[in-house]
Amino acid sequence: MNTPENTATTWHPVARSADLRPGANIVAGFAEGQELALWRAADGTAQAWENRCPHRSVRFTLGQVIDNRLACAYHGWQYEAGSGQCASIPAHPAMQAPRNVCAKTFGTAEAAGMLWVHLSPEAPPVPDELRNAVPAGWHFCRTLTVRASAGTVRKELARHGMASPAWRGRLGGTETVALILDAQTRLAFIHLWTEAAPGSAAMKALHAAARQLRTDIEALPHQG
Amino acid sequence: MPFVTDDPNMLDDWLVVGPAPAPSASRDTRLLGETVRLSTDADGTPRCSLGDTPLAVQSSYGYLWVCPSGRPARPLFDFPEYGEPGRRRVDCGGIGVAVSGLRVIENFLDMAHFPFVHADYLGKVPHTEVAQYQVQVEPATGEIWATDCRFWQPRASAAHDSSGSEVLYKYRVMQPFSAMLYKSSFRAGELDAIGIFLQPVDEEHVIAHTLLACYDDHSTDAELIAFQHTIFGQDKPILENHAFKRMPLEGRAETPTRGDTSSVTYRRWLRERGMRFGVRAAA
Repeated sequence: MNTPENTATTWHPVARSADLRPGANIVAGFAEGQELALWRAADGTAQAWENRCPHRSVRFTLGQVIDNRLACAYHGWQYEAGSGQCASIPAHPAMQAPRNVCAKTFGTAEAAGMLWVHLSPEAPPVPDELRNAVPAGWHFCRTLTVRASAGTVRKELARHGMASPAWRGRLGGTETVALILDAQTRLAFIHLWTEAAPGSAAMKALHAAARQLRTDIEALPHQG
Repeated sequence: MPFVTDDPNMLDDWLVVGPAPAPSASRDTRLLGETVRLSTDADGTPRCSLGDTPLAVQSSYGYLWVCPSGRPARPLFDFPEYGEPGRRRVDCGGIGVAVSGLRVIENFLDMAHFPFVHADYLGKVPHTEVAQYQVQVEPATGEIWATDCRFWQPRASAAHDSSGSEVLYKYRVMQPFSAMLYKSSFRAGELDAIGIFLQPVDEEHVIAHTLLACYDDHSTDAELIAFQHTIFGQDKPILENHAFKRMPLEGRAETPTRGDTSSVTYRRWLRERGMRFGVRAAA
């Protein structure tokens, strides 16, 4: 999972599951340079779509979730959760939306408190490593955004003694799992989970270590 | 040519660069990737230069217009309402927009977004339907005209209260980066004219100059400008969030619907003139 060799076919940890509220918000996401609109239908199912309305290419993240549909901010076109099929074109209320108008959707999985996205048209079954990526009962610390490639981030985490494939180890003395997202060519997200309790001294130490980690990585000369 | 494009649709046409400086004053502005200097002689003659090179310039409709190549393919369009007695002419200022100018003109021609982008001003759900309208290219001028456009509007202008009315529109595209609309005014039987003239900064940036030639006996200039700024301020974040800043003219990159006749005609009109500036290359 998430190792440099298989990034093109991997499940990407794009956001924390709890950050998507049913029938409510839309979160901008990234994976391998693909811009995503992440949202959760009122029925609870997570959605990861290309962040672009098929009509005039306005970003879906400006839109709104209405029950089990996503509505574009520009012309109010509505698309169904799951299929991405256009269901309503308000400019022509009596017209059935054409079948060929469809948002591009990606496969999703929810595991270990995270939303994972697969960019291939046919997402494979969710591997067990995803479910076990974070030990049960652990807490979310934060997501670090780092201006460096995911490859550079992995190398630096390895130097800190956090090893592939689980990326588990100590940061600032605190037991931590780092879930690495290849967001763009030179942008990586590190989702940090920890056994430390919220508000504890160990959690504070992890926050400080995470900031320092980012500073150190971004100070490196550009690689690859 | 030092400019950022070699598209004759831009180089051989008159491009707006904003209002003329006061006599004996000058200012710099951006045009097609270059900084040009605008000035006005003491006798009122406008000038434009790129470095030491003078460029063809004319003053019309309250703005300066520059032809980068000095070989304009056609004269500047007619705008008869500008000089009509009884109309108020108000320059609403230039607003920068980080997108291809073609997207801005297409947005200007579009009614379907009114209830969503301009809710409680130019439209309101559930009044979302775009009724059929007529679009043609006028053989004599080559301009696109969309006529018989109607839309229900809660508050159509600064002069209107918020009781709502069905508003009649006519749209006109004179140049790839210039369009006008005519809409029901506060004065019965007369149409307000609103021009949008885009100064091409580069392929993904414009300065939109908006000009009113309208009937309004009540609003102050500041109120008229504030209304336009409110409307434009609602469009700007949409315009700057196209996933592709340049507009595709062919292929299936974007899917129009029935009421997009103006947009479809505009894109075809651009394609037929070989427009490249601000256009997204086909995949």
